[in-house]
Amino acid sequence: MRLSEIPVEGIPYDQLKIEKYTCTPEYAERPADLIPSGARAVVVNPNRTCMPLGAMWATMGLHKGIPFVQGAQGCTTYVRYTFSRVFKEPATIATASFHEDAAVFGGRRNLIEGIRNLVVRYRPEVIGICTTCSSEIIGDDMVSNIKAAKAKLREEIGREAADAVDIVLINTPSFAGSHVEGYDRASRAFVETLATRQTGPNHKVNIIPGLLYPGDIREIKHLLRHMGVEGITLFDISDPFDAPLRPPQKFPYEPPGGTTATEIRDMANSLATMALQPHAGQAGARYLERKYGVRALVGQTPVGVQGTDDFIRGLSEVAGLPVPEDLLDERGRLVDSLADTFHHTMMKKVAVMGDPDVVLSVTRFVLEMGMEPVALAGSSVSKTFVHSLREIFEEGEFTGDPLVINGGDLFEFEEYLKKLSRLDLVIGNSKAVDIAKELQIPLVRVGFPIYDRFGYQKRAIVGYRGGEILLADIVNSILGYQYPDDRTHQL
Amino acid sequence: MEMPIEVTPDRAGHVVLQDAACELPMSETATLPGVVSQRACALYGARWMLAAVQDVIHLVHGPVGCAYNAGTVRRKSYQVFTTCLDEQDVIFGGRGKLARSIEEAVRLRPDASGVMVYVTCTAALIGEYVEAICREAAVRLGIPVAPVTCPGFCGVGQGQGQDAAAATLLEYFVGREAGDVEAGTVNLLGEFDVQGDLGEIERLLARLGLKVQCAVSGRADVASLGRAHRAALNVVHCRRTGQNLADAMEREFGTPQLKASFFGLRETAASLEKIAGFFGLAAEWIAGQAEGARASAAPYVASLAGKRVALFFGASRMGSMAGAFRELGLEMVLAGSQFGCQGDYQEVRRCSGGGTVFIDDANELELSEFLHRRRPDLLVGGTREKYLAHKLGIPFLIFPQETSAFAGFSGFVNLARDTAALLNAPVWRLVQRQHAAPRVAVATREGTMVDSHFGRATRFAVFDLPGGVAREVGVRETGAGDFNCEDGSARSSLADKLALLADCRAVFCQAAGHCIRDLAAERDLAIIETDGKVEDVLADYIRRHPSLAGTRPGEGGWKK
Ligand code: SF4
Ligand code: SF4
Repeated sequence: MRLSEIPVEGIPYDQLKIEKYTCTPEYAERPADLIPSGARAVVVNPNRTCMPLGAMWATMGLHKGIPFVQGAQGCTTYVRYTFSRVFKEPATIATASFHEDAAVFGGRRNLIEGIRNLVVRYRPEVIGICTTCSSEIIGDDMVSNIKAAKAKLREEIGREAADAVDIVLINTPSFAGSHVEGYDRASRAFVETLATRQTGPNHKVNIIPGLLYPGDIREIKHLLRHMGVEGITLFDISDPFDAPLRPPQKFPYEPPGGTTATEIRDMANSLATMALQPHAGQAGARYLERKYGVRALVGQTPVGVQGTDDFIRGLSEVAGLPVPEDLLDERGRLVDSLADTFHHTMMKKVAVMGDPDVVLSVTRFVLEMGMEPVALAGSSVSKTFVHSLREIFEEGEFTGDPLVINGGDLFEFEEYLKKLSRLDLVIGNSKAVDIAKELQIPLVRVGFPIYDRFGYQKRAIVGYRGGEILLADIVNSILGYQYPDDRTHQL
Repeated sequence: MEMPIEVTPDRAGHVVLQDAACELPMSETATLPGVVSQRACALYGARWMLAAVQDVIHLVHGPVGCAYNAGTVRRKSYQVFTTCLDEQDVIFGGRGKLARSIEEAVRLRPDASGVMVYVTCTAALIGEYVEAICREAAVRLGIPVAPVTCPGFCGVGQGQGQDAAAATLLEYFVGREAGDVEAGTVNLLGEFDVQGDLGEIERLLARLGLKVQCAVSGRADVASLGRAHRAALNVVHCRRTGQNLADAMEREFGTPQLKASFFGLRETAASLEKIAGFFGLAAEWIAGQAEGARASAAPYVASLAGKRVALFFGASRMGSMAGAFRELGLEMVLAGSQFGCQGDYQEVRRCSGGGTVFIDDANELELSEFLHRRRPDLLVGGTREKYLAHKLGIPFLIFPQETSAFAGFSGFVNLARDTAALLNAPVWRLVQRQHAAPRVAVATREGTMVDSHFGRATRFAVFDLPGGVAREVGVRETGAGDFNCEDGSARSSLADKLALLADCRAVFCQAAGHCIRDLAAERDLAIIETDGKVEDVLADYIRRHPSLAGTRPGEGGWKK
């Protein structure tokens, strides 16, 4: 159903809009044939980063887990830098420190010595070995190298201490996928290596959150608690990447929390696995289903009313528990907020960018707000992205024809937005800051990475309560931007 | 003074404690595999040098991650183009992708006056002849297309990439425009214009009547680089990133050079005088400006007296900042760098007192151990060190700085202000345990003097300090005496002793061994080595912890 113009509190709709989004004068017309990223070889301002980042992220979510990156220093240092900027936390990640000799003779020695050096220094419980483009091209035989590293470790620190360290290999050549896929591969690698035996039902539900922030994971745990479900959260970064400043700290600094190896082993015994991001974590869930018959529930990230409804429904079904009153109240509050603010969000034109699962779930939510998506850019190529969007459009009775970018670059996204006659809002991560500035429209920040503002990693956009936060952000951005000065006190 | 961190055999020589006869730390060697290195890669170094060059296309020839990462330099985003090498390219070679990418990039940015092609690990490993492709493209497009050979595995850290970047600038950009030397002009080499530093320096030089031709690369474009050889003098502001260029330009164009630093009042004044001397200019005003700045900074400096600072930089900044921090009255307890050279360490040694620890290529563990053991009042470093310091409750100053210019005379005042503000920030008071009883223990036999070694003590007098008033709550006795650090077996009896004091914040004793201090630190128990009368020791403790005054139950806001 299309509505024609509705006057809002006496001001005709189009008068509410201040025409701000003319492009800066330097804006140059680009050759049209080179705008779609599919039509060119060169990529301008990539929207995604590389596989190892996803695998490092995953390993950082483990208790006493340290990623070990089989490559040159940069691949590690850049990611540590990114994590520190995004989470405002230290990120302990070891590097194999490839130099010219490794490039020529392979990284076997680096791995063997590196694992030794890492274990002796930090005594981790789990090491996630992430390969890089370099190690994959050089063709290191990682399985045999890891065996040798373990043998060396036994020699040095004794069998018992050596065997207490779980070493998990994650193949993450970046030229073959993005950070999203790196996380996905890690989800499989860890359960495959650690959950090797089914010992008896534990009545728990496995949660693989995907690349969600600490605040989101806390909100998911809140939902589980209220449902009365015990969960195992795989790659639980909520404490390691949002750690309190409470001296004294142990030496060496050890981030609190994280999923333990024992918990991962126990995942084979759970009622079901819920993967909250189909592109990041599904592989682990599917593996457990195939191998142990642990049901895999893979759904969109629980953002907004229906997104959260789906999640809660799934949870209630696998656990065989009713949805408690207080969660229905939370839902009711979000619905109430939608009703109270609908006149501000309806028909607003919005562009969403980010990792595919973020774009999908946020798009579903903005449709609930009556907004009109005009451009949707998923960072990494996905086989299901376009189809899933179509389903979301159908559900939301949305008949528009937005630009859909499946893995293109930011340049394409930006050029398209500049050509639009009207756009009210961009929703996306910090990589969209320059675009929003150029277009002079507000940016609502969601997804990874957010490094130019504080606090986003600590709060939730998932769940009903997270929905209220995101809704408030969107509404307030529109209000802050849309109203002429003499109406700034209106809501 | 003993070495505050454990030096593993494989790190011997890289960690040294300065005393009279101390050697400089070994430097510029490869990082051990498996450590958490603070170093980055050659690509990082090359981007550090070149990202700010304005009117060229920056094309990262590599997989997507390298390009994504290389888009951010000194916390600023830059446009990057990339060939985004994928599996096909890796298997079949770049398949002309680079040539096509260069061409397309220039069509997308027709205003660009050049192209820089950064060669990453992957590009180097698939073995394309990048130089030839660039040469052909340059001929076709009529603008310089310059390869930067900076695959991450080259060299020991970002340094190699900085060298590669300098080589590229020299070969493809510097000196392309014909013309004679212009009187009264200088280049600033190794100046990246962080938070207005360049403007500060420029203002000072302008006062001498000098003009900055080109700042590499804080303000550089193809035209100014092309003219750079026409400057009358090269001022090297950072040895690591500027020296190579200066040497080569001296060789090739005969441009004289001069090493300068604009950090700290003394260095700034000396540098300006040197430059004035070179040009034969009058410079009486310099001393006056320095004095003016010193007066403005004085109140901040006063609050910093006797504080201890730990410095951890990339390379050459370590040397130039050490002097500035000394002028702030801070004692330098650590001088560390990721990839500094002997010259850098030499420079910093001149500013250090006895007892400074030098750590070359310090890894995260060593830094963390240093912070734990020495607890400096301030750590200075980059993003990768910042949050570790904060987790340990140690104030941190970030470089490149985030707030204002630190270069020049007024920059020094900014530095003083920022440092003082950080050290005195209310948050460091709040870090203290607020909800536990302010309770301390004293190792004393008779109750009047602090007279026992922690390991040997069998009696502890325990005091509460509500509202800053000491009140004895009893004496606790332990059976286990005579603990000796060397004998690890006694550790468990030591743990019992610590458990006995679990509710205390601090314990006063004559002395305590290393392992005791470590165990105590894990339990949030401060060990304070002292002697003297119990009442004096407590009074002194109360005086140094003003927050104790607010801890009386029922006070500090909520009145009963
Ligand atoms: S893209 Fe490959 S080579 Fe580049 S940073 Fe990522 S893993 Fe390293
Ligand atoms: S080390 Fe090599 S692969 Fe890794 S970021 Fe640096 S250039 Fe890229």
